[in-house]
Amino acid sequence: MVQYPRSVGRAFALAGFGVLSWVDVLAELLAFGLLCTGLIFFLGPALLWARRRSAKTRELVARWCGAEIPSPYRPEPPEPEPERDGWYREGNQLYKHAWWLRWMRRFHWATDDPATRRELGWQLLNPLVALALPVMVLLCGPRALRWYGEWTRHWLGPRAAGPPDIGATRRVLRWVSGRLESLGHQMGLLVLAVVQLGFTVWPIVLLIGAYPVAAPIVLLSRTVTNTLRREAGNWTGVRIDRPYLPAPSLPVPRPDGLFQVGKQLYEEPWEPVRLARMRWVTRDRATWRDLASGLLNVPVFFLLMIPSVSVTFWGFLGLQALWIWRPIAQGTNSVWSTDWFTMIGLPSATTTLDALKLTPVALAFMIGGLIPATWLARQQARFARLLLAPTEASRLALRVARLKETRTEASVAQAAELRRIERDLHDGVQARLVAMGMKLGAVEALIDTDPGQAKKLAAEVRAASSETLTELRLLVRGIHPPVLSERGLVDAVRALALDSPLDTEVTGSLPGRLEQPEEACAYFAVSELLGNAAKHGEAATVSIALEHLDGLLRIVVTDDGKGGAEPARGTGIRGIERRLGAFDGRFCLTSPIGGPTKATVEIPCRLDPEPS
Amino acid sequence: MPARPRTVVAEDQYLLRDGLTHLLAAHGFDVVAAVGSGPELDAALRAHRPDVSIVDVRMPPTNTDEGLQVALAVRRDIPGLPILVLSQHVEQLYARELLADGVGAIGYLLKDRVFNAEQFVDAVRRVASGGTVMDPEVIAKLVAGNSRDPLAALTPREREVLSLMAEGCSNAAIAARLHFSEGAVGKHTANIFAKLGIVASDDTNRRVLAVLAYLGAGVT
Repeated sequence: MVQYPRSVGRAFALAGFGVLSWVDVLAELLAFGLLCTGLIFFLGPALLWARRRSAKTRELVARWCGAEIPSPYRPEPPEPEPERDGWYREGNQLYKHAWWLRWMRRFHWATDDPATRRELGWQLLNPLVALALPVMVLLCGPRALRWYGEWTRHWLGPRAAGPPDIGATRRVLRWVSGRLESLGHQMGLLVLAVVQLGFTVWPIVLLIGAYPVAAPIVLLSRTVTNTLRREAGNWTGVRIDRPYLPAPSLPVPRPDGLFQVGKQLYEEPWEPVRLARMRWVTRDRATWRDLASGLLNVPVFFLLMIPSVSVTFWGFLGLQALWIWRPIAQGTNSVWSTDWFTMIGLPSATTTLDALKLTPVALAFMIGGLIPATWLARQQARFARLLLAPTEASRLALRVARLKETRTEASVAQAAELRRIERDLHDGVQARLVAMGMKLGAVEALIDTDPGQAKKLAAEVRAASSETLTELRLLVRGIHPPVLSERGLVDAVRALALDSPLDTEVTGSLPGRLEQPEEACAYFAVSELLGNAAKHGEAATVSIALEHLDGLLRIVVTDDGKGGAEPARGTGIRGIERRLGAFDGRFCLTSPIGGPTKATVEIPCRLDPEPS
Repeated sequence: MPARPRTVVAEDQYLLRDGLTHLLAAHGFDVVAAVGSGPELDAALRAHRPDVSIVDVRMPPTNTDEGLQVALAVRRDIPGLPILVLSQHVEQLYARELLADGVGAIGYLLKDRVFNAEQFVDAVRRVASGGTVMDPEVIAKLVAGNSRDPLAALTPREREVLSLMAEGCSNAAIAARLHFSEGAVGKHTANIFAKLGIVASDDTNRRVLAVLAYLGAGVT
């Protein structure tokens, strides 16, 4: 019987504690306001400070409501580590001190976490629920505390990834929110097009009036156009590739140290660089297509927006008129009472009954406007693609540039490989064979005079020959592993997995053999990735999945390590990319802090359906 | 094992095949066939059913793992046919495939081991009499790798004994290598069998099962 009064007391305590959340919300709003004025240092700490209240709530709920709620946050970002020269690096930016980097990481850790977003919702809503809790406990007894535990778990507990099972109401909500989003995307595209127009006018003026200095402005406007390309892809799924030709390489001086452009010699490289960039920008057709697109996008996007946005907005205005303005205007003799309805083309409604009759009409208009929104947004992006995507010619030009690059890389890599083999043979096997030959000579000399010593030497020679074989075996493995030529990729990867110190699982199969070069490339990529997982990732288990679909070999290597791998950092990963480049392969690495690290290797290739 | 075990040698390189034939003949083996390709080996093994055979992994016609495939295929039809597989390189993958049938009388060695004629012939004899011989390099890779589950319970000393067992040593040989008494080795092996959950049966078979567990191929 003591349970009931105790739970009432606890409910009151939770209610009191819950109300404090609004203080957190206030603090966060203040910090956000400061962020908007440029004082960025407050939002992160405010969010992290509010986590303490959530943690305390979880603790109380665990003690009183019987709901153990684990912490939902992502793991803390790692401490920045200096590079060898003492600088701290993030991407391509170097920092002298660690504090800024540490602060940035913590800021992103706090703001990027989906759990933070839920926590904000909880801070807004929970005080209301917490205030209702004592009433509920008085009415329903300690059971209400358990409900509160579930409520808290819903907001403050970790969420499983993946979409939850959705019911019919959810599906309707999803449809509406999806279409509303598309409406937003339509407007967003228009806004981007307006910005693009702004950045089109300037380059045109400069290209006509101040031709020599136009290049930097054109390049700046490209970033705006690229934003439009990217967001069009993100919002509507219409992928628009970048069409620009690769930047010119730096000028190379003549033997006398001067730079030559045509018949003119320059002492400093700046002028040749400027000239080269200007030619690069003005000779690229994409520049002119960008400008044309900048002029055309705004009117076309506007036209494509009219059907969806105006109809939806019209329906929305109707609803507003029926249920907000009509009651306000009623009784007063203002113009609103009749003019509002005639203005938006609805028969005048003065009674609630009229309003009820007209409501479905307004709703139908809203829905009717929403229906084509997604399709229209996609048409906007398609129109943008007409001018912004690479033409066949520029695609070819890009391809040639890429091939040139990968060919150079491949031949450089191959030359380096041959040099390594030569060095290994020279320093290892050759030297050992010379030593063995010398020892055999000594054996020959000693065999009659001192058979015991000769025998000892012969044993040494045998040991040396064994070591030489071991060394050769390692060398061969590095050139082309025997198990790969004997069994093909899948079994070679299995052999790698067995040799790895990690618990490694290999899934998938290939219905035939790959071409040898692709096979070796894929093998060495997996070998490198496994080695990385063992070395840096602190992983315990690794899974490797292989598949070949539609002429594309895909290998996914996932480990459960601590994540945070940066593709820019590792030379090994650069090596993989270089090797893959020669086959038009692709490498993609996702490694959020806290893991898991997932590396995907894709190589377009043909399978030889020879059963092996 | 008969006094003069009938032997088949399969090796595509003429010099090595010849050398092996002479070596084995000199140590009292009766080499009934010396072949140089996969199909020939298949025919020779089925026709002669030798007491032991020495098989190279890479042979014509495909020059891939011909020898291994033939050895596995023949042993599927004639379980327990003693075969010693030789290769320029050793792979745990192949070792597992060879051991998977769990009947023993199998060996897997690097070709380098032929250098030491005594040890090599000893290994051949052990395979002929139903033992299991794994190359020390396979064992070394395992020890360098992680401690796979069933072995986590073993003490380092027991692990050492087990790895020598996998190399094909008898209790006496293990005792000599580790400087124990033979009785102590017997106690260790009994502990190993108990910890790996291998029930008492004929000792050779138990040793094979222990090696299988060691290689993580799963004991069924």
